[in-house]
Amino acid sequence: MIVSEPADLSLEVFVVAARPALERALVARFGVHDGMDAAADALAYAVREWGRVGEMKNPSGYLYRVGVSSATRWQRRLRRHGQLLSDVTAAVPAQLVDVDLQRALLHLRPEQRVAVVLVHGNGHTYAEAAAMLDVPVTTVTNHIHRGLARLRQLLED
Amino acid sequence: MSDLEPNDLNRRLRNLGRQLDDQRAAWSPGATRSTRSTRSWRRPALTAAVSAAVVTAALVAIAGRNADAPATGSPSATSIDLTNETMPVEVPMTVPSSTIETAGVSPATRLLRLPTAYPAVDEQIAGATEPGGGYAMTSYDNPTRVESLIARLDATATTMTEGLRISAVAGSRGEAAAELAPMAGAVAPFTATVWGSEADVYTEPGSPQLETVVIPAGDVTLRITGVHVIDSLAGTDRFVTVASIPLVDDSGAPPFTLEFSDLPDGFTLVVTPQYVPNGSLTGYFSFNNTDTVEGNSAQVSTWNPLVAWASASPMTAVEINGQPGWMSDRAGHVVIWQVNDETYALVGGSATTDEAVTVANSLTFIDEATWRSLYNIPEPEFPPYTGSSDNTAIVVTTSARATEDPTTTVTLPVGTVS
Repeated sequence: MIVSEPADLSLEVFVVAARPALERALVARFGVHDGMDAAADALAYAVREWGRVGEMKNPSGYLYRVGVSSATRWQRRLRRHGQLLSDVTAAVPAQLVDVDLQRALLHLRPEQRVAVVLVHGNGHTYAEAAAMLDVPVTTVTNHIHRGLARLRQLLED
Repeated sequence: MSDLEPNDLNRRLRNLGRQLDDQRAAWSPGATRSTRSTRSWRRPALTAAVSAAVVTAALVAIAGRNADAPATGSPSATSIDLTNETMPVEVPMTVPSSTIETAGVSPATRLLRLPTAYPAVDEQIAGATEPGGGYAMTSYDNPTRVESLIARLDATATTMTEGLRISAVAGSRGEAAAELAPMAGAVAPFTATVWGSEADVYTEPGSPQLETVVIPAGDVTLRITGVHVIDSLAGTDRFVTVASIPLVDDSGAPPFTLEFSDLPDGFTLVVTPQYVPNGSLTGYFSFNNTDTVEGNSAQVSTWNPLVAWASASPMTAVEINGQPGWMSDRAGHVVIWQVNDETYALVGGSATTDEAVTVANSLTFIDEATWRSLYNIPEPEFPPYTGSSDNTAIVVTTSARATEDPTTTVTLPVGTVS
């Protein structure tokens, strides 16, 4: 669930509802390692700043940007690491890791990558992805259209 | 993997999505420790702060973050192993609540300040479900900052309006832009002249729209946040400056503060400059009220949350068990008051302001150990920082500025990653 309604919303309800999608979006953008860090940053920010965040039209979208802002300040491994999946958790057997796809995804623009992974990887709707990125649905449509085209091109090379 | 039929690409993306979700789950605090590698201890994810729907005790695990600070030893760092590859070490949170951090830690020190009083609810609240609680981390990577609040109070000091959150934040104008611009979304900042200086003005989404004016002040930026800040500042003389102060210790507290001169007509200094540490923990508990369905939560912190709330919403004075406080009927109905010299309390998420006040008045405040025992709350985890370029000590403290005895310093393991 992506919380995008004006919030007469308690912090606890919001956090429970918004956390999975927020984590997914930031993981898609920065990889598991830094994405989860960024999500932690964003949720910590929400706890502290709920007086402001809770009043916002789209708190999920705002916290996504908080996470992006935080991660951008620190993030410097993703390109070198070359994949979204973390190499430090045992949840995914190595033989099942699609390295080519991840490398191709990393060549997409970040917002294209997030939109493609949220919708085609995680099964979110276009509207949910739009709320998460705080952009119109048409923008998400464009991100996905161009992202998928670029992915196919990269994977064929 | 050269078959690039659309369905195949979709399948591969779905597989990746599932794998990312699996790793997300493994990363969360609910995962057993054996599933985490060394580096994953860098920061276990922050758990949901509170759950109103399913009230369970929730552990909020915290961890460090790689900083740009170079790995520099300090005289006191001799007790810290900076050479070994990081090993996750169990660090039971057995620090006495009176522990005071003292001088002599690394410049990269992160303070984790803990409240000294924790909320408990009386049993007689009608319709309340069994409370659950935990810890929530409220900041750690934020640049070091000092912040305060000015606002207009009416003649009887019963209403507070036009709150302005005033902060001095370490970092350049460019670093402020890196922090604030993404949060402003599609709204580009504009420049304005404030008190003769060029300032950047960021507008955040929301209702009301909050503006933050950023005025560079050397290695620090002065920031003023509130509703229609530019209007509030129009015609005023400079009433606040960033002042250097000598470091009384090496606790990570900033070498600057805010100094106020004559405030604009009608404004009062409501919250004096408070140091916001890189890390601080909030203790909370929550419960459902079965009559209203809403989830009430009470949290305590070492910083005054009024600074954030009053800059976004008018506040009304209220008395909580004889102590002055403030309440807002917006954003989840909150009540904020000071419990003791180092602890502030916030009750929120209530269905109505009256309910928030009722809950607030019903609270008693107890020590941390009793609180954890009462609500079966696990100890917070303090894993070592193991960022790629950082050796950071974590010091647990209840008073970042204290310089007197007792001199117990709790320095948790520090590791390096090659």
